[in-house]
Amino acid sequence: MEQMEWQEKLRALSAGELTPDEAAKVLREAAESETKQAELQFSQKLTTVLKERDLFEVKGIVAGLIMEEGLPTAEPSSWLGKLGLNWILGLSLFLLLGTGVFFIGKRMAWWAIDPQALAQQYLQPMENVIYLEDNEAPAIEDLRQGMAAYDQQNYRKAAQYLKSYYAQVQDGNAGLFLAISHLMEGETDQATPILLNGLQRPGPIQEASRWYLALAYLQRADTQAAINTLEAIPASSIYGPEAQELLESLK
Amino acid sequence: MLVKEKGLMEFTPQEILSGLLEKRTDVFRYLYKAYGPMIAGYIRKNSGTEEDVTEMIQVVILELWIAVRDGRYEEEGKLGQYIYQLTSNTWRDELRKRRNRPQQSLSDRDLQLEDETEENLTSAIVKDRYLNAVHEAMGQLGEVCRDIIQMYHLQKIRLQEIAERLEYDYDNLRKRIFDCRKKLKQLTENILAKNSEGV
Repeated sequence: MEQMEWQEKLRALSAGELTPDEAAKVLREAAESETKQAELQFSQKLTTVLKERDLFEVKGIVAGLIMEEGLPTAEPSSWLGKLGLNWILGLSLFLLLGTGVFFIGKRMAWWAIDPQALAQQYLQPMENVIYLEDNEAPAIEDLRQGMAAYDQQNYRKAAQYLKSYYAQVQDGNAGLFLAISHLMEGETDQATPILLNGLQRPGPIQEASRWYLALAYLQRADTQAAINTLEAIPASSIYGPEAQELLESLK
Repeated sequence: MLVKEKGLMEFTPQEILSGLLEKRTDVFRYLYKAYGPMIAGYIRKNSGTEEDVTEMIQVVILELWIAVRDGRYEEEGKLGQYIYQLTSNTWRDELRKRRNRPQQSLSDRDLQLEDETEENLTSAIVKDRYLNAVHEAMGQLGEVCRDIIQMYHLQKIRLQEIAERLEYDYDNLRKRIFDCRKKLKQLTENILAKNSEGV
């Protein structure tokens, strides 16, 4: 019981809920006992880790929204501006209809694009580059089995093992292969959040996550989000040429 | 009072605050659609590029979320004004920093927030063996324990409310929190011990 109360005080201290006097009292109490001091240290470290995980999650949400929704366009600056814009939009629509939107659309092949078919066409599993020797991470057996199944193109089994490994270790590389396995199985909803997390990691994981995220959006038939994501892939990236080609097919 | 925006879901200011704390995507989407154009407009008007717009929208929404989480934002029906102020202050600071370091763009700094950047936190975790072990142990903890610890430690959700959400008896929840924390500590110590053996 006493331990629970001490824990509650530590939580309140780490969360910044105590007054300076109360905080000082808790720190004094901690200094008097080695066990309490150790608990305090653990509590502070835990708060830092939780904050990092929290921030990471929110960054993923916001980055995902920008990808899905695209950047906001400029707003008309005034009421008159809004009214004017509405007139221009109305007039443009009328002119478009009047001059034969059907023929324009046909020429641009608007309704010839099938995003899901394009996703299927471009989706290729990434080569297994995970080095397992000397890796003593916990649950390494899950990673080993998952990647073996991945190499055998048994993506359902791969996803099952990699999911277990990823939940324990949160290894970005494993996450990427997990997301790809989901995509190969058409499980877009499971793949998307993992890929959004991958965007927050630097280097090749981010690069690959962006490409596969675009394909995930296409699988969901969310063409605009796919276009926004593809546009963020630099031409110099290893996915650059394919991304450009896919963008041209979509536009 | 409802915060209205044509074509958007409506939320009361209180729903926005609680939605941010719960990291609800629909609330973030609402904020993005309702206030994103204002942020973008401000940055564009003040010599920002499209890349700056992307980065600043993220920074401002993250700053808002941190302010709500830390209790620095108090709802007085002026969310729009607050976001505008946040945008102008953050962009002004950014431009000032760029004048001092003209060769460095916003993307180079990769979304640094004032005192709690992901980069800083991540680098702290990498450098600190103990932090690293806690991080790894969190990954090994069961989902329920992870959620409980997250809610209890960080989100300032009252124990009674957590108990209601998870359908636990209040006293059982207290015991569960205690057990989860103990388990996490044990996992952390195991990882630290294992890592020391390897050194």
